[in-house]
Amino acid sequence: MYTRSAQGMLMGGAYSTLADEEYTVFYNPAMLARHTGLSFYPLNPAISVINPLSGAVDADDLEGELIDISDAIMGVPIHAGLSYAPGFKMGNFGLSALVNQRTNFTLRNKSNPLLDIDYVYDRGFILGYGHSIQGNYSSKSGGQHVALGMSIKYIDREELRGNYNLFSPALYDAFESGEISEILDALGVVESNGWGIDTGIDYINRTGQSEVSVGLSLIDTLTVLHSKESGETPGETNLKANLSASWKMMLSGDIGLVLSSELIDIAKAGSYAKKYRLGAEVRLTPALSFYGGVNSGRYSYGIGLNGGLFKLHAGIYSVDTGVEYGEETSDRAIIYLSMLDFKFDG
Amino acid sequence: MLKLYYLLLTILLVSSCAKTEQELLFDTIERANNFLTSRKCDDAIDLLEDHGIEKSSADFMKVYSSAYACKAGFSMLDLFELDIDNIDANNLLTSLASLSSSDETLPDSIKFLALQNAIDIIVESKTISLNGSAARRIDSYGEAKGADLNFQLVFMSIVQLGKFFKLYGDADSTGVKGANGNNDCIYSYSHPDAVSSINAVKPGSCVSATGTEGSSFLEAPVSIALQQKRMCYGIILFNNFIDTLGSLSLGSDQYGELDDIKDLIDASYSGLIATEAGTYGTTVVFDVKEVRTQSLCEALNFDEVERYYAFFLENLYQ
Repeated sequence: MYTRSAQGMLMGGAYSTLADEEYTVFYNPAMLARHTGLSFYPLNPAISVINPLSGAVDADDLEGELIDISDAIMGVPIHAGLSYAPGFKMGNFGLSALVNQRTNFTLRNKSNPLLDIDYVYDRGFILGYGHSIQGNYSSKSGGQHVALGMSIKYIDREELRGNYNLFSPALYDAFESGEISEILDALGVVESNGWGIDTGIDYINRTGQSEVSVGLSLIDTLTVLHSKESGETPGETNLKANLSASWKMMLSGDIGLVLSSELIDIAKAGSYAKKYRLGAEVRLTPALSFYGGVNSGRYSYGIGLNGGLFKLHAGIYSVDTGVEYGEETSDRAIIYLSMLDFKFDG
Repeated sequence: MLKLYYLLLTILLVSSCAKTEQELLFDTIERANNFLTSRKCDDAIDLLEDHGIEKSSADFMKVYSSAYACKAGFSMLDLFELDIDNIDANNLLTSLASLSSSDETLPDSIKFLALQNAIDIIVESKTISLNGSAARRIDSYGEAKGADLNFQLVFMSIVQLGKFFKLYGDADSTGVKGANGNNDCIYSYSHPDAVSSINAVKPGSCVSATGTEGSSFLEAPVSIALQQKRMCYGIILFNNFIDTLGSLSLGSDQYGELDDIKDLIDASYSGLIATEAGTYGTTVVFDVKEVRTQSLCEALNFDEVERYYAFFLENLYQ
């Protein structure tokens, strides 16, 4: 599971060359080479849920018997997520804590209903460093450089992934046990921990008001998790290679346009239709931005407010959760609030 | 910059690896379940059969069975909403024949055969020695996956047993045998021991074996082979149902009286086995109750099948 920026999600997920803020270490550690001074991000929770405006599930449908609820949610991906990533960047170093909880469940198969549960809860930290290997770039005066970066992360994970017969004794007994932790235990949650490495390359060229950036990030270049109990197997943490590019045109101050594109998970086989991401940001004032994006043919849009001591991003985005392109869509809403960020250039 | 671009483009072009067999299997199962979510039964069957049947994967066999159950119109949601509480452990076959899904009017209909196929897929999933069992499925697939398959089998069997006995028992909407006036017994018995048993016990509407008391779908001009095939559907359904029920813990309220059935049937078996041994000196009930595969049942002598119905199933359907 990956910590993702709300702004990034609202820009269709095409964000790996734009994460030049509190999420840098999570997207591409090489981008730390762009940073100077000290930046601090103490409070930045984000919540995502199934989009309440999508009409996929009516609130009235959720009252009543299990059968009625099952009928209402059959085939509808239900999502809830919470993340929190306080941290700081000092020169070319970045350190962030990570707290990420994501729960997805979908009821499938009208003949023999199966509850597909995907639950992950990560806690840990990530420490990264980026180093310019060619050229000369400064966030104040521009220029261009190529940078390499690496981050090391520690993850303590709880995860539960499986299909359960909706009416099976196992599921019934699990929910009867009451407490969330007992339900998870009854369903077979796996606890694991371990270390991982992310790496990346970043190229940036800013001339005047125009900025072009290209990057390749290798998330989980090497990540190994070990289960805490014998006989359990943690989920796989395979390499995720993301290739991205962006173009910024900033007019006076912080007003301008950003366009971005990304191909995610290029090392993994699969349709390229599912891998492409396109995003845009229209910054009308330093305090107000509109975001939009396309991700596997699904649209996202949202708004960003920057009030100095706080930042707010909110909007709607969709994720292609099917095996093949266009098979299944999870519609979600996200809200992110960051408070008391500060930057000291030194 | 150009060098970097070409480097990254090269990485892009050469980096993508083909999916592993395991990934392809997982994707096929996921896609089939998605088809079944919108009741695209034939699409699911085609997808799974194009992939190739993976008997070693419990998840594959589960969704493959589900795909045929979908084709039969089977819905576990409907079963739990409408019928599960109507199953009476003390009047098992009558209550099964009264389920809302017990609507069969023709033998070998497309829906009946589709659900039978769905059941056979699980029953024969890992037949090391041809005779499937709940225990064998657990041994082959593990405790959790084996139990999942057994769970799915039990509920499909409930619906199919209801259809079977509604049709061949000529039951009305309340499940009472012979209530429609077409046949008083399931079969027209001719074996002397079967006739003797029926005339002595008089189970429900089946008060005498006259030679014409059975379902027209199980007598001439229907061939003996086809009669046996159809009667074997009932035997296999029932035997697998009881065997599999015994492997599950269904004590919670949502399952109604299902947890009481196995003990009651076992008690019936014990009594009838003893009666048969004492009266006829034979062990038909004891032998046939362990037959759980259609091919094994069709390989029996027909008179064993006939006597199993007379001694046991007719008796159970009072």
